[in-house]
Amino acid sequence: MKSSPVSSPLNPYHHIYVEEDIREHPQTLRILSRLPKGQVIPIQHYKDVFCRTRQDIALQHRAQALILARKTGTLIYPGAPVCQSFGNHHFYYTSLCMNCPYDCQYCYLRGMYPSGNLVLFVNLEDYFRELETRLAEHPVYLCLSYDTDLCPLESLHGLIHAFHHFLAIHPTLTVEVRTKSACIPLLRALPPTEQMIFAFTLSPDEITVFERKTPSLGARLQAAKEGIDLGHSIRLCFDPMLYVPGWREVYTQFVPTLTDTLGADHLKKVRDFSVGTFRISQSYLRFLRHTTSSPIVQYPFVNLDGVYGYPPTLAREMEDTLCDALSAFAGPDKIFRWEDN
Amino acid sequence: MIYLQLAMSCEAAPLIRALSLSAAQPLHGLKRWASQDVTLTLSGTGPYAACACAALTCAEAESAHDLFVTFGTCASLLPDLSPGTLYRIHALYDLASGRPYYPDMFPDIGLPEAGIITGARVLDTASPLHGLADCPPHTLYDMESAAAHLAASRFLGPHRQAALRLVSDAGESSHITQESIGHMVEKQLPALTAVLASFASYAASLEDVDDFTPSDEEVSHLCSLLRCSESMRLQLVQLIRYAGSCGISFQTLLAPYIASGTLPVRDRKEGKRILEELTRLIST
Ligand code: SF4
Repeated sequence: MKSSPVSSPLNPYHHIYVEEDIREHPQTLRILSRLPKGQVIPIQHYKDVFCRTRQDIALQHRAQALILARKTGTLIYPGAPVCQSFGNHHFYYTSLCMNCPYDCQYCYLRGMYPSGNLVLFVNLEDYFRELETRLAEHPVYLCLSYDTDLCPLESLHGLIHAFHHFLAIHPTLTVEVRTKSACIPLLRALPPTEQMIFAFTLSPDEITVFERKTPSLGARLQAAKEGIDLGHSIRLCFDPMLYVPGWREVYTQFVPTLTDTLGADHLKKVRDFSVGTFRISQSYLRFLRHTTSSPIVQYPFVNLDGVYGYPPTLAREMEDTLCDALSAFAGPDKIFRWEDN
Repeated sequence: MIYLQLAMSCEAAPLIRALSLSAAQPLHGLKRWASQDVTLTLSGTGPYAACACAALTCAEAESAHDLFVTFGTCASLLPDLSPGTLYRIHALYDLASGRPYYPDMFPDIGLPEAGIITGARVLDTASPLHGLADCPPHTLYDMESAAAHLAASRFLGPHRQAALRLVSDAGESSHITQESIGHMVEKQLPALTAVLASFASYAASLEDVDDFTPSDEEVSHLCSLLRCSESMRLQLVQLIRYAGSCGISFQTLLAPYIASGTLPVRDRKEGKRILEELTRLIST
């Protein structure tokens, strides 16, 4: 074959699979209007695309297709054992989408889902209805992006804005928006409220190389700083801490970067900090290891009651090292450790 | 390798010439032509023939760099679609079973796209096929593609499959001859060969994930040196994988133990101690 190739790299969301049932849903129309170049393909059910066998997750992550669907069944789940609850009794999480626009090599989603494509659920009204049922019984602490990062696609789906409006009429609801983004425009657009916590996951630059498509540490810190200036409730998460050769030096040098960028005044205004080493359930690790040869996931983890993690002495040492460094500006009541959970 | 599957010889002949394919060993009686990069197999018409051929072909496509591509003519379900247009298919729907299939759309080849319905009968606008009205809003109809790709999906992932279809008519097939199909394919040869070249470079770029799994022989040799139990064997394999992913040669790690006569060990307890020592050495 002598002709020259005619292919070009695909943009993200080059193809948008839309369940026919929600084709006219206002959220579907909003998303499609923002992706005018995407090729729309009608489908019956998102699983027809998402659950095909033998998909190449890493390849799909390079140019994700988008799937718009209706989520049925339970929409709000009690926090899983591997989640950090921050001392909240009524701790829940929700899945507004499946998969993530970022592509961290260690992400358990790669071991959990059969596809690297992104599913967005459009029926937000059903989530709100279920949430109101819970709120009628007790206050709710809800993790909005426990297994995704909603911030980088906010202009597409507007979910964080929608929850922000919902908070205003439900004062007993608190939500956490966990992110690795540098979401300054979003922070500027939303009036601050104690009910919405922006939790920035921070890693040394030696680790962010494993977090593909994410902003650098510097960019995330700038966003956190601006969030504090604007009066937002900001949490800093050092979770997962990852083992790399020379980890002690890497994490010890990381804290001065933090203090230099944020400054003591800003650090005092941080709501709290969370620290935890990498952990993953046994079944997800098995699949995750098939998707990458990265040493981050090939590490010989130890199995503690079905959850794989670093040997306990190493995990404790890593967390202690970071907690000691953080204690220069944060009291123990402000530092949540995964081990204390 | 690109495994091309077509139904009819009049569709295949222009491609065989353009790609300089030579007659090859038939595949269980199915005619084949091949070059270094392309193997073209003639399935015969209809979904059952397409399904059988795809299964036989894809069972051969063992390398991560092998792609399965189908090509053929089809009818348009919309009267205003002009004959002679080449489409890349993004959705395939099997009329008999109601099952859909969606190939991944890698790489971007710039062709217009459409969905296709595959049935077992020739489409006739004078007496429309029963059940067509209940199908998804796809625009094309043929008798092979969904069957071929549903069969192929038992062997290959969606990123290793692609379907191309050329519109020959709008369900008025009485005037279609083998000769007219040959002419239509001939006209599309520049586009088809360019698309196949794109698929070839895409296929070459597909990666096998090297998880540094050692060979069975290596594992059993090391297990005998360390007198491993089953759980020690699993631990050892993961340690070798991790060492490989870090660029550490496991053999080099073991060399001093072998030189000093520590390996092979006297008993399992000693083997366990050494395995733990090696684990600590490279992972803490
Ligand atoms: S940001 Fe979180 S959810 Fe997204 S890929 Fe990374 S680890 Fe996974």
